[in-house]
Amino acid sequence: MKNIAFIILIMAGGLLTSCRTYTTSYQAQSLSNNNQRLGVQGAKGTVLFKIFTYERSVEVAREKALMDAIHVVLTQGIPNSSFPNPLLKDPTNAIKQNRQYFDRLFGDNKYLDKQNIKIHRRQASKGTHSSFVQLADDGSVNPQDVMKINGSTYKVGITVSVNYENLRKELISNGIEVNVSQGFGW
Amino acid sequence: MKKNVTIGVLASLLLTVSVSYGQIMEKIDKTKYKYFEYNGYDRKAFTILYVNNQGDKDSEKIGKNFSFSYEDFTGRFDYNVISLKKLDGNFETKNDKLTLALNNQKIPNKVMDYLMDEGGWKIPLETLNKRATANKTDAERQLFEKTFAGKNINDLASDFYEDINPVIQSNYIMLLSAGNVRTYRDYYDEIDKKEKERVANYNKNLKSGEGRIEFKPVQRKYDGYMAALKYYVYNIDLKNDSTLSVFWNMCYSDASFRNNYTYSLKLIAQGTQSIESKQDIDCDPKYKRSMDELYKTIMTSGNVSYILGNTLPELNEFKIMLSIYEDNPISLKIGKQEDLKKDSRYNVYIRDLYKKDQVRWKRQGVIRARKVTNNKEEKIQDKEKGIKIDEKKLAYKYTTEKKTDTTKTWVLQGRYVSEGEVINNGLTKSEIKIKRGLDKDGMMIPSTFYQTEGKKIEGLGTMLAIEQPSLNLFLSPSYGTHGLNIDISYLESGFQYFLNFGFDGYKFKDEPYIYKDSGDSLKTNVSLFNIYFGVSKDFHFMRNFVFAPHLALGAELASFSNKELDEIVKKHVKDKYKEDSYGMSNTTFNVGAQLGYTIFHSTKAFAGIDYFPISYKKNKIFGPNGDFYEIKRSPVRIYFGLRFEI
Repeated sequence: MKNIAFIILIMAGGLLTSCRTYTTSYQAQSLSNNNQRLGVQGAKGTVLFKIFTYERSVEVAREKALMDAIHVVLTQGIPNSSFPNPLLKDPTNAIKQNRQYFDRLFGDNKYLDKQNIKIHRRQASKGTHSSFVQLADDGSVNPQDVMKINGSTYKVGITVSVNYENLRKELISNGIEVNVSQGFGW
Repeated sequence: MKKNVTIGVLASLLLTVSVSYGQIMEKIDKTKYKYFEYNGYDRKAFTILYVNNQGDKDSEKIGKNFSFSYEDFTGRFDYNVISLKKLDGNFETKNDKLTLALNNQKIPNKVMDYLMDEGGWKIPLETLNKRATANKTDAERQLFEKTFAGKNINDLASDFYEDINPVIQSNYIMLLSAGNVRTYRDYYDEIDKKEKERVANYNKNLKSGEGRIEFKPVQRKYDGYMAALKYYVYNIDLKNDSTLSVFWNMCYSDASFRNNYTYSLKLIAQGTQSIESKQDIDCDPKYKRSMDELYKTIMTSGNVSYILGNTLPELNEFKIMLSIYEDNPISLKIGKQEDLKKDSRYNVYIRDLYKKDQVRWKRQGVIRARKVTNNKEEKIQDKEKGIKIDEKKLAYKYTTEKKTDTTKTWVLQGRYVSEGEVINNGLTKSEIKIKRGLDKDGMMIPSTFYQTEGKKIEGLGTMLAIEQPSLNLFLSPSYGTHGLNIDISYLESGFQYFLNFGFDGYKFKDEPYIYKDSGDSLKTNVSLFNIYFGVSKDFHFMRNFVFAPHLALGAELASFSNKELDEIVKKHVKDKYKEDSYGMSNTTFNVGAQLGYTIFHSTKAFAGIDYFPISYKKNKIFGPNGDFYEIKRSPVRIYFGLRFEI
């Protein structure tokens, strides 16, 4: 009995270790914020980037990309862009303290725990995040940005534009501490 | 305990590896394209020039009679229309001398002048919009048009080069020259001469006892001419960074520089196509044309269209690859203009991660065109309707309000096909091509062309293409004790016209035929051969299922394998029964249906049911006394089979 418990313990350890490697479930790639080709004219207070997300289909990935885009802006910032630092001053604590607000923002109470979860379209559209982010390029997908990872997961690159200025105002009005130095380059 | 630790650690490792796969995929730094490289689909444009070949006396004469309009050619490609249509030169000369001749005449410069809006060298919005259309969404196209309007290239962001450059790089010059003209009379004479020589040699070397053979002249069926049409296809090579940089930085801004600039030309294909102008010797005198009239039509625009529409698309350079535009329903931004036909099949590919860090294009499924859009340019549609059009008006009328027409398809095989995946028509097995044999006497001249990469494709000039045939193979265990049915069918617009050859064998072991005359039991096998011609229609549903009802007419023939019985029956059967009994030949028809499941895009598993309302009433084996035995077989036949679509 003891042995079985020991095996389960080691397996659980392995599982937890492996899960930790999976927390980064998207990648953000910066783009020129003045991208005429994508119909973005360098609007003040916005940041344009490509987000690679993992989903079961391109269609769902388009929804998930909006959530991931807001998440990356809040917690990490976009490397090599005009928005390199997270919008939240202390992302981990801010999310912990205002969990209810952020669950409402993303429309999914599991998303903040695990960004690699597969979402349902209906849930994604419930969130208020969509008022701060939009698909650039009409949401079209370049075949070079679609990749099948395994039988049911696709990695899809979608270009999005996040209005971080409006998001910042929204966060402040809800009493959430933000990184004030962010985005003053404009 | 140690054992348990080992098991635990192994299990833990296994879990770690399987889940942390997500981490590995983020570190891809090396990509490997197994099948092809996807660059999107941009329409290629041709400029056609006829060369009066100084090395061939007929070339100039044919050229005088050959006048062409770009409107006559296939819509598969676009055309850069320059005023010059004919050149003088030596077509038999080496390739580099031909490129020199083209550059001396400044042909590539004229082509680029046309492309960049002659004179001003502005951004050719309409042309670009038209040629880069298949890679863009409607919103992108509208934005493209809005942003480009009235602007100089220098005012645009560098991103726009991604749209413009493929169009700048996809311009081709085709040189044509016809020659080696001979009459059908000469051709037949030559065959007769060779045959005479063969007969004379045979008769000369006869051994005693062998019979002489007589000379038989060849049957002279046609009157007229045959000739060879040679062609070269060059690309105005702006594919490398240095030439492209010169184009934008120097040619675009400096008129005198671009007028004197010598473009690099790359040979893409060369070949020979057989052409002819003929009539039946014994045709109605009322319609008979003179030899002069026939000579004038040796070369037509149709010959050029054939090369453009049938021969060149075989080359990788001219194959269509594009991404799926919408996925519900699965739509493609190509149509009749690209010679897409209903029921054409296309492989769909997706980038696939394999071996940890390598990416390849992997086939995701197969789609079949359900409703093909007519995306031909207005000028081509007008021509088809008989409306006279102005050749110079090549501008494509694009209305921003109108949503792009797309070809609708359905998934023939594959679980999930979506937008962002790529079709490649070069890799599909949608057609069988039967090559017509080449006549040793030069009746049919092979059209062989070469890619400059060294790949050689032969014998395409006389190719007969049969689209969408399918070979059906059915095994029929429920009827007879063994048997095999083979259907060969031709699929056209969802209808299948099939020819069925069947063999069913019967072994009677437990209930042998009793031959009453002697009272002995005789065991025998009965073989039943049948042939049917019929039509069926495929109805696809739930992605992988197909329901196909059919109707067929045919004939059956049965025979005994037991020779003893065979002899007895032959000896005794009364004449009046012959037709209905021994030999048992029947004309019949059957109705039925098949339910199939797509295992692979070209393979379906079928279960079918057939009903034979007439033939089974006649299944009688007559004995010598006029009595008969009926074969116990049901008018309903259930079978299983495999259908291979080639």
